[in-house]
Amino acid sequence: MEHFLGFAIPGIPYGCTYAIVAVGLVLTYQATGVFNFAFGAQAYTSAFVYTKLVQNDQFPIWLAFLLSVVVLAPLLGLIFDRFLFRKIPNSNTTAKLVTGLSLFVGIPALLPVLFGSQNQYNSPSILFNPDTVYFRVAGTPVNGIYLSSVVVTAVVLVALVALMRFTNLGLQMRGAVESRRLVQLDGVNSGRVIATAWAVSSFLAGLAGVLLAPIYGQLQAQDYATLLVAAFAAAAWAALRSMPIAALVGILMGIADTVLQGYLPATSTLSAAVLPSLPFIVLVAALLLVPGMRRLQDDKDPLASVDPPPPPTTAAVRAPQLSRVIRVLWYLLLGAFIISMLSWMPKTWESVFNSGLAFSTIFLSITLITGMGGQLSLSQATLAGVGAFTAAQLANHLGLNFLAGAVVGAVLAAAVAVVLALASLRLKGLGLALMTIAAALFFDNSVFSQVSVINGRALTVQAKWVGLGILDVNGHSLFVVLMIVLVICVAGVMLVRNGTTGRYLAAQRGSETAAAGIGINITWQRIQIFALSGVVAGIGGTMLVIQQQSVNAAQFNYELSLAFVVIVITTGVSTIEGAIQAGMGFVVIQQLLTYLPARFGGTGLTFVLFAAGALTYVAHPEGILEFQKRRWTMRFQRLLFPDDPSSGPPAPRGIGGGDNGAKLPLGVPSLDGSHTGGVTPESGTGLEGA
Amino acid sequence: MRGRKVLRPQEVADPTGAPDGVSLLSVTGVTKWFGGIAAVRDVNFTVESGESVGLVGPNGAGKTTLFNCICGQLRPEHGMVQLGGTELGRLPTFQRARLGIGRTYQRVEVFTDMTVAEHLLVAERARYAGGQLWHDLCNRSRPTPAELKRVAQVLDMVGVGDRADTPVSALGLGSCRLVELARALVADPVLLLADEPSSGLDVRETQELANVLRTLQRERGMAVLLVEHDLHMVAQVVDRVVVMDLGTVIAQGTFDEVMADSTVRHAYLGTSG
Repeated sequence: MEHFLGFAIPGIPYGCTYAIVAVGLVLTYQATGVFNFAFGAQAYTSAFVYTKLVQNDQFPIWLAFLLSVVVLAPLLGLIFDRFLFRKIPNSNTTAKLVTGLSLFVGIPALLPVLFGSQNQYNSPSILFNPDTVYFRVAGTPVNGIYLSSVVVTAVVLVALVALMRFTNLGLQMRGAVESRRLVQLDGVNSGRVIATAWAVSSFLAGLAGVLLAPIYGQLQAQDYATLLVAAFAAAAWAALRSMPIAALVGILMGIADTVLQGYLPATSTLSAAVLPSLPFIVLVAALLLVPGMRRLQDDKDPLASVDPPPPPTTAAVRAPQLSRVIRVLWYLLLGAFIISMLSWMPKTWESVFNSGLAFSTIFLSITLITGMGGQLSLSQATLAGVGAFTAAQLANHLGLNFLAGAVVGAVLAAAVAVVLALASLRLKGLGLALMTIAAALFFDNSVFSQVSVINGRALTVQAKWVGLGILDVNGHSLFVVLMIVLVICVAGVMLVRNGTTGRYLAAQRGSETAAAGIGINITWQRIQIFALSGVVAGIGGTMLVIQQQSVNAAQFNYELSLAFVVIVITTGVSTIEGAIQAGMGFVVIQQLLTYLPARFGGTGLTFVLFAAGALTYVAHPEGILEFQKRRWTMRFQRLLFPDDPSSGPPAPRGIGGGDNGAKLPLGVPSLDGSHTGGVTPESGTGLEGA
Repeated sequence: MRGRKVLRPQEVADPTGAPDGVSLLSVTGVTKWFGGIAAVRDVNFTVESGESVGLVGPNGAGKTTLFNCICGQLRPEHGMVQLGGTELGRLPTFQRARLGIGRTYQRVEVFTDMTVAEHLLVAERARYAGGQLWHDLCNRSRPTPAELKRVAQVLDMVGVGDRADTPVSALGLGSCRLVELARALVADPVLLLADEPSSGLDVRETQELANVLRTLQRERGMAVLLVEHDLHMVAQVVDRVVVMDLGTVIAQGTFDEVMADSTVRHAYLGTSG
């Protein structure tokens, strides 16, 4: 028993922190309907500022705590509420997820830009002295860190449960989560109620961050992301409803982690595979076993019908004449790009654009799964990694050509995607996002680290395994191959989108109930689109490692999966051109930032820029770039074709908006030649022939 | 229901070719609980081929829940639903739709990214399990002239032919209901479950809708199970009425018979007669 307690007690501080974050997640979800992906980033922010104030600026601990946890943390929460989440209708789960993800990606990347990238070490403990052993439990010393965690967690839990159960404010919070507009009709100031919830939950995030900081020697955003996943798992077991259950599971996870560490041999494969994956295993188990997690999507705002429908894409509102002009311009631009790449383009920029082509291919998989399938998958970089590692392993083991390996890798990535689809058949929205992020983290921690080496040395990409002179620095074969692969993938996606599968998926996005009611097999469609996105991501992943001539786990980690979604959403997830713009924009911005001082370089500021773009998702769900495109297109259209009916002012839209809304010129081919609605004589599918 | 063999479409008898004496739709002892509340309790009734049956009752009577049980969107705890004499068991919703059960919804369910015509095109394909990924990739998924002609005919029939290319998000509630109806009809169902189809329609549109339903029933032999609060429309369309209250069937018969029933008047009209 003493042996067991010796392993268990060190897990209590971790468990308490998991518990606080899990309770904070439940509180935010219960009071605002938002599953706050930014919670870990908020915790990290407070810990970062707290440590910086104490260590660098010599502030007293109490003042640093006051500023970072009592002032900064709630302030951040209030800002998020006032400027972001308050604008999202209760029923729009995707917008809430995207906004949270943008903060998750953007905040940790922003801090080094603001404060410089110096590392923060040895954060001091609050309340009790970390170096003092206050007492012993079964022979195990209990120091100030343990004591602080337990005391703070106990106080927080009691206070929160009392707040939610026994106060008028708690009652109002529970009402506001259903529909803030509905409780307003009952005379409740729902804005104030929700702002309070945000302030309290953000305070908890800050508190957890500062509690955890002394446990880690060096402050790293990555540790806080892992903390968040453990908290996700605890909150999921509580079905995002019960704070005591969330706290209990959080504490048990902390203890289980250190107990397993104690009992499993440190060098065993089991230890290497199970320990890092524990939070993900617990999260997946919760998603599969807790019925409440499958019903999350059923929560609907009774006043959701007053929300306007999503705006049409640019291609849908363009006049046919303008579309023809734009198409010609795009072809000219494409021709100029190809000629430039094959002739005068400097090698640095040729490499940048080649990289952009590979990323564009990966991003097409997000267009498929999210834009067409309507599913928010957070594991697309993982699927790309599955393809890339398969090709690399086949090349390093068997000497198989990378291009042939790309096909095998694509098939394997599709298989992984299908397993993921089958495991998450009953999940939608948040549940699916959590399942896919769990998968991404599992591959990060337990698979990619194992398969990125061969006989103890790192995998390599050698010219003899790629062939066709692709890696010849003086040639252009790499560009030609990447271009051909992208064109094939684009053509495939277009054909699927314009075909029956695309229509079935569009029907599902509109109403799954009605889609099933007319005979569409929702399950099969979902499996198909997951598989297809796996194929495209797998091919894109292999192209990326060929272009970068290296293959390692960091190229496909879960953070990139999240960042990729945020990037594509910024440029437009529903269009093929959105994926290509995302791919090119991602690498071009990174390259341009290298001309700035070092703290602005790398992916950090690029992530911040795209995250800021994705934060506009609430106002522009079609993507801020797509929105601006439509805006400018309409301006040009009014200027060039004033007589075209579609050049008029925007028509009233939405059910209940009246039957006399202007008919949009549907069936107009977009840049990629697709049709976004309607059937036209040009497409040969017009009803006029009937 | 638990433990019964899962039926596949090919195992279900052709509803239109059901043997003599077998009802097209047979609902036997269906019970559905939500927590501790019986939304539907031991409901029994039948619908014959080409028959039009009204399912009426006050709000909360369990009519839509019963529709969901027939369509497979809900699994009843007890009882069985048979189509053409074959139990549907645990067949999922999409397979029931392919067997010929069409449906409109109480809360309008349209595909917001689509035009009116596209709604029908997709329904036409889905009914016959058309559309394979391989066909899409070979660019062989374009609508056929026959499909387009049929879509145009159905749209004209329900009165929205002039709005074929309009996105449904630009339509009013009434028009969306007509699109829903057209979407169900284009698949040529043997049984149409219409859930408050006149909600949101004006008097003229309601009359036209009633005419369409009656015509379809008489000329095509399509059976209709109609949930409707507009009793005037019910009287025009149906041959027979089933009245529900608090999850149970309290009366069945012709419209005049059930309206004369004191239990019905008490439950449905709030008067004791």
